[in-house]
Amino acid sequence: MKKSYSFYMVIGTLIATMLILTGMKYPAPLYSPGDVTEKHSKLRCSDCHAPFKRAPSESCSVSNCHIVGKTGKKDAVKDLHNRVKGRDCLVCHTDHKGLKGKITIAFDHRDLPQKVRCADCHITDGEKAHKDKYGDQCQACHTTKNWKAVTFSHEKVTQTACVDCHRPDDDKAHKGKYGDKCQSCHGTKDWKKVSFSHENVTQTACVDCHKGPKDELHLSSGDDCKACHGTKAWKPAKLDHDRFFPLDKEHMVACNKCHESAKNYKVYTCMNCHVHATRGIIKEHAEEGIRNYSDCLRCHRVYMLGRTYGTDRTGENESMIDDDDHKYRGNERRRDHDDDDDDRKGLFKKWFGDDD
Amino acid sequence: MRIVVTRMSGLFLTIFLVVANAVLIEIILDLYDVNRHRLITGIAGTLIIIFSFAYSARKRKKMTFGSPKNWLKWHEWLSIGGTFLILVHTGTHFKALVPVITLIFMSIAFVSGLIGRYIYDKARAELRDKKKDLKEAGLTQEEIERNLWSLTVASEALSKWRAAHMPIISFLGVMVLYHSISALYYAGF
Repeated sequence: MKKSYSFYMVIGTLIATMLILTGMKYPAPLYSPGDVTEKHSKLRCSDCHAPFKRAPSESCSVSNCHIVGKTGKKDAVKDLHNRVKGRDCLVCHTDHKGLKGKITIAFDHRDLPQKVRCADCHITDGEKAHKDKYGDQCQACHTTKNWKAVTFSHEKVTQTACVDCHRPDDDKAHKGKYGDKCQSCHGTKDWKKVSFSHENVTQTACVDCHKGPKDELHLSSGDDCKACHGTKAWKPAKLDHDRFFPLDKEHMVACNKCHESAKNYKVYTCMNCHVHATRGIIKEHAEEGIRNYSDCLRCHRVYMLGRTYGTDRTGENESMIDDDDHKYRGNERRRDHDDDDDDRKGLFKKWFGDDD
Repeated sequence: MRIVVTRMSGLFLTIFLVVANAVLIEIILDLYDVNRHRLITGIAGTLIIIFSFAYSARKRKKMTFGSPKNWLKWHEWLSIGGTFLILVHTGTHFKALVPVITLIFMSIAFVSGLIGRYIYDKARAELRDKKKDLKEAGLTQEEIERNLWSLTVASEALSKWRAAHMPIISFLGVMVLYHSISALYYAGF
């Protein structure tokens, strides 16, 4: 038998009637769009709702639940409720947002009188976020639509010292060395984005900020970091050896060839290649009362690659060498230097004589 | 076989698009804590779906405006649109039993409608030869379409489908009424 819509609708209505009857006894599971707040949880639907009407404000004050003039913890809130007396509670309040749901929704702040300050109702949370630094012009960052959604701008901050709000973090990164001119490196758009310039640093000693390496090369170099390092980048470092002695083709040897002790690079010797007769040199210098005979350039002058190295102690030291053997210029290499390095000792022997 | 796969894909694609878009809109609205759309989308969706049943009235000659074939097309599109709005209206709120049961019936009716459309297309394809005969008999294009529609909706497969679709729609109608009245009872006008 073919059934019509009406037939099924009657069946459906019967089922719905059963649901309606169940709903009369247990309405919440059938109709409640969400749990009511904890404090309302013991109420029946009919305590707040009236048939075919929005929950009337009268329901709120029935049984003295919410008494106008006493509603709210703060005086300003009580005062506000007094002034909006007679208005529909549902303009600002709602429910069915869950047991812990927020039942106060945004209301029109324009209803408030001019003299009411934000802090009269809102918790200023001075200790937590503001630290009482932002003044009392809340509207500089906050809006009445959403207290938590803030649009921060440094231009609106009345205080000027950065460390009033920002952690100075002296122990961590600055070590108290950069002074209080934060803006030298930091911008107001992003505190963590820094553009560092050494020109802004008030202290001059590199080691005040940079940790000097503890290896022997650096320990023997002292605090003269700029001899090798630049301010644009700490690495790479470049040692201008020419300042002390040019490492030309003939002198491009391992460091310890001249600097025998890595503990102090100021100590050097030429005699590992330039084989002077040691005993003869000791004797010769001793005759002059010179004990420090190993620092050749202290007294002897050498002219190399267009520069003079060493000290001219003419008059102070008679053994000052300024002869043709040490005086050569640029590419005017001596014939002997073009020979094999292995023969170097022999050649030097030839130039400077044998022991004694 | 390829046609069957294509039609099945169309069926699932429609379901997916309607649900996915509703979910997307719900996510966006939830992000901005917007709730005011619930009432309007609920009422609009319901009215649109009710209006789509003008097809049923036209088919039963309760009214004479428009061709049944065109009304079928409107019935399909309006049902899809209405279902979409109801899904946006529901959002992620599945707390109260009455609205949830209503939603379940609407979803079943929606899928059932799409299956009906699938059966309709299949029946129509089987009548392809008939179209040729009607053309040769000298009928105009409009007459051919009307004729084919009558034959298609009268097919056995569609009759069987209708036997299942009709009670679903009936129960849905009752639940929509029940949900609307109960919502107005508690939330007011």
